[in-house]
Amino acid sequence: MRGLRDYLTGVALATSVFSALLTPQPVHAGSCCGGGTAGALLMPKSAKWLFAGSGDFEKYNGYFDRGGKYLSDPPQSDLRQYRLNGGVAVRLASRWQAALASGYVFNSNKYSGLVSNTNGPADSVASVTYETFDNIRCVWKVRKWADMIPAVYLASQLTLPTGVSPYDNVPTSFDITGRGFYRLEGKAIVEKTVYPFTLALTVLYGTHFTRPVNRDYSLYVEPYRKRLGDRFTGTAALSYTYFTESMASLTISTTYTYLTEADATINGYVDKTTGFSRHMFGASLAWATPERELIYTLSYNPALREPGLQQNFPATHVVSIGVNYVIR
Amino acid sequence: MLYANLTFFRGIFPVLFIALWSMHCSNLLPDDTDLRYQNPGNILAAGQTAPDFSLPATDGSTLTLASGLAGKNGLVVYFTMWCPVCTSHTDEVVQAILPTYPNARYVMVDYVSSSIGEAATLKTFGGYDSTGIVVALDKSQSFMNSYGATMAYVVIIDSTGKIRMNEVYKKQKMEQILGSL
Repeated sequence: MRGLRDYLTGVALATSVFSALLTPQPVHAGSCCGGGTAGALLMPKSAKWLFAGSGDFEKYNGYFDRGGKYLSDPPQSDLRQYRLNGGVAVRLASRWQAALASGYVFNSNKYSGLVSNTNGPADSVASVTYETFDNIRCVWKVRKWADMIPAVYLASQLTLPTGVSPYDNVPTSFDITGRGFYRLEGKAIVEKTVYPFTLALTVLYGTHFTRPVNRDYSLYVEPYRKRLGDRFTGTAALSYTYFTESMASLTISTTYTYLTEADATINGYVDKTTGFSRHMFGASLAWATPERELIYTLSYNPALREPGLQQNFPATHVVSIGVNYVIR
Repeated sequence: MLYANLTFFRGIFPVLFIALWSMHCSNLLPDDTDLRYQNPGNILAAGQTAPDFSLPATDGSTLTLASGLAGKNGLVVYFTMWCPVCTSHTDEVVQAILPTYPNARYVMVDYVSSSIGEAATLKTFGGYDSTGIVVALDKSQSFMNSYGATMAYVVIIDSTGKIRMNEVYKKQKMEQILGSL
């Protein structure tokens, strides 16, 4: 019985962790605002390696201005972005893991009289994660206070500007595949599983590094220094895991994410046209094989139009499918 | 079992990192070199004389350099493709710059629409009908190209016909120049 529970615990942990990962990434995904940053990877406790691949399809559906007012795109507009993401994570020590993720972005845009089809590498993310626990913290039943102790991950991640940004040779913001800035972030994930439910909370705070700019939308300009604003992301995900007779599992998750970024500065002056915020809701499925080696994922984030839901950011539908290969 | 001992493969990380670095070296090491003058055809810089132009406008008039400057101490041209970035800039102009510097004329140049009617529709769509901003159409993009401008660029021309600014939207710089006109 204990062996079975350990097994179930492992399965659930694997799926719940990946469910948490399926939360809408703090991706500045709108090509209008910054390309397709890959999301940082996180491995289950018992894994030595993780190889992840995914594909995203993002369809734009209007945008919100700075006042939170929803505005439709001009008639006959069709803005799309396709992203292929890949990454690898490795266990460095019993409590430490590191990961590197990147991707490739395809933009397909028709906007007013403008038609463009561009592609390029996405920004990349390198991360190091510390697990504050040695034993799996999933329980079937809460019998004592200690059973309520969650799994806590602390991470630091660095976004690398490997994508094509507005400061490179691109004519419009629709052609970019990255934001062009280094960003250092601290992250905490608190996750608790009491079968069949898992609640995961993630908070992320990041700061961008100042960079010189000598080019705007392909044209060389008088060099200046620019820094994007600090960024905060908070995500809550609630998951339900169902086990089949063969011990495969299906995890269904709903997620809520709040993302906000302060205004950028140009030569030290605040540019009030650049900050943004958004509330996002999403749903995801994760299917884990009985051997827990393969986990298939599917997620959807709708483009909601309710006033005030976002500020200065496009509304987008995002569908993502992925597969994760775990080596234990 | 094949992967029972993968310690060796941890070396893949620095390799991947170095590969990413070398592939995108120019992106990873932003350049602060002023390259404007190595690309002389690139842009009409501040201090140069503004070339004349003739563009149809949504109010039925034809916008020229002379008509744009008539009765004003400066002409502010913003190149828009009506995207969220452009909207954000224009909203700030309407709310913060236009009321403070009423002696300049503000023109949005639409370089993506196929007709003046479409440009007028997009102006209405963006909620700018009551702002006093004129929208002109540069269908062939010849005006934009002659100034070496692109999306979200601002050109400020003073009453003597000299270019005072020609670069991507920067409110603080615009205010400095408009205040000096």
